[in-house]
Amino acid sequence: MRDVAILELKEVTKKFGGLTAVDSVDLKVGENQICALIGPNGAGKTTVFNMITGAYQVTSGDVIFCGESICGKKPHEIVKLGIARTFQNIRLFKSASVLENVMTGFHCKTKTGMFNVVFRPGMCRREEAETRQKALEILKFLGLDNVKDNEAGSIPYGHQRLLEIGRALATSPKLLLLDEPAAGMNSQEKKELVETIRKIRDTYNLAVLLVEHDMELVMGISENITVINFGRRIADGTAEEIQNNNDVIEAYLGRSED
Amino acid sequence: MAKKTNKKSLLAKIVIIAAIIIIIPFLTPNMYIMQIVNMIGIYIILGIGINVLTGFTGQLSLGQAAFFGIGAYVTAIMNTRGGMQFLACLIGSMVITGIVGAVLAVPALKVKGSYLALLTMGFGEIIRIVMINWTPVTNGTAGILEIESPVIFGFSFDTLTKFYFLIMVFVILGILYEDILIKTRTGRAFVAIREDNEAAELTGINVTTYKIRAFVLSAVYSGIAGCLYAMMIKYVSPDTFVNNTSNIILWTAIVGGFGTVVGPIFGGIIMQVLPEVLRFLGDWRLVIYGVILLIVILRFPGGVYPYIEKFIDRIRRRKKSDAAGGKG
Ligand SMILES: Nc1ncnc2c1ncn2[C@@H]1O[C@H](COP(=O)(O)OP(=O)(O)O)[C@@H](O)[C@H]1O
Ligand SMILES: [Mg+2]
Repeated sequence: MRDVAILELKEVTKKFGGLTAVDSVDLKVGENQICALIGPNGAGKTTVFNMITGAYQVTSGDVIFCGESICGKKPHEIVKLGIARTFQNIRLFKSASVLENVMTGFHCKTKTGMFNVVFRPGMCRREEAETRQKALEILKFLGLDNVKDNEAGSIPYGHQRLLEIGRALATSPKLLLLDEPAAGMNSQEKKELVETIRKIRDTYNLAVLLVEHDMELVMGISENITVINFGRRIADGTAEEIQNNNDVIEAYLGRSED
Repeated sequence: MAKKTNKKSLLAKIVIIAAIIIIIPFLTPNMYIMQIVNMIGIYIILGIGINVLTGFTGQLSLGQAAFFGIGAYVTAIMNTRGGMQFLACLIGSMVITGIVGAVLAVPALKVKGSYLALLTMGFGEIIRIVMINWTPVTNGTAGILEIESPVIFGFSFDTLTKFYFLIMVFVILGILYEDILIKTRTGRAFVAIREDNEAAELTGINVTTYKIRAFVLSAVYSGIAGCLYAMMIKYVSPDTFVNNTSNIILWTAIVGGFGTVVGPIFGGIIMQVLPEVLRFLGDWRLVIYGVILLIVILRFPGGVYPYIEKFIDRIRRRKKSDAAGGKG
């Protein structure tokens, strides 16, 4: 792992009543790295994402982003600091258009408010045109520009997943969290997704942390992999190290093979 | 070329709308009907106001009559006791309703769905009870009489026809403002909150402040409507600002076009004209009124405006293809 960690989880724990969903997990993502967080269903992966993004408060432990603790910050503040995410169950603004979804992502980078639409209409019009332009660029980048005026909820499933990535990119993240981005995609779409994720990392110059069940995809793309089971970290390392780790084989790979 | 035709069609639109607005009072046979026309205008303002909160931001309000009433009472009190004229009263009504809107938003942030509906309904009831019981200020059930007509820079809007034009100014400004706002970042934040509260927050939107903004904005629209109402009727009493009024305001938005900017124009017309047209039915009037509204909602889910828009679009396209065919 590189020295400069953009994200670092230190013994992060989340309890729901009596259930410890995440138990003292450590995790590091380096600048510009593509990392993965894997584990069987219910292992606590989404809960980890929810703690990083501020959707859940940590029970104990600390989340460090760019050298600063972000625990206790509101989700929208964390987005502004540079962490964006997608959702395991797609959560688009369904009845808004594809373009509007991405434009909404520019919220924290723009200023137009309730008063300056009246008092500074020129500034607002310029900002609006700029937002539209940048949103279109993202759609073009993801190959969604031909459906820009469609209702977001009406485009094919795979496209909706890409659109969520587009909306996240609009917030200019330094770290992109992808929660099962390949779920529901066919093998061709998955191949394209791998390319897209790499291209995103290089073009937008960001780090990626992804949760994914497709092992081929995870092993092919990740520089570092963290494995959790029942909320505990059981392994951490490169794809090769993970594939040869007995605990992992027992907990996860073994099960998926029978 | 495209820009030129755009400008042309915009100009055409403005001319048509101006013509309609100017013609209406000439077609109005008597003052009774003029008052209904003015009430339509006031309900349009109430309808576009509730649409910000409920139609665009997804926060159901069953208590809009309270804001309407506060706006009316503030104007009534400032005018009859403070001797202040229209513009001062208007600003007073806007500020006070805005503040009350922000205050209501605080508990409202904690609940959603049917709980929010109950909360706003309860708020409406509380305000009505305050109007009845805070006698030293509101004059209780007797209400406040002898409110003066608006005077702006020496010009007095002392007839219903003159008042009509004053209302139209606010209808137009209200629609223009909302139309512009909804297409910007603020409008997208409202819609994002309606579509998915948490995803909105995780897209960088401060959901709390935007919900408060939606409450304040819809309250201020209602406050303007209240101010106009008080100065038109010249009398306010708690009987006007009851639960039924809140329902009519909500229905104005629903029937006209939920989450559309101009839908409430049609909602306002339907909701105000229908009971008058049905007057001949006597006691059955309200039953038939309800049934017709239900049919409208079932036939036009999302309100009538989206259907009107589609219809106009179809005609326009047919005309265009006719013209193109003629040339070819
Ligand atoms: N809001 C919540 N309340 C109670 N339990 C939860 C909540 N969110 C997640 N859990 C529980 O935490 C555990 C981990 O869930 P999750 O993080 O979604 O797993 P994964 O994403 O790895 O499949 C599960 O047992 C789940 O039921
Ligand atoms: Mg999950």
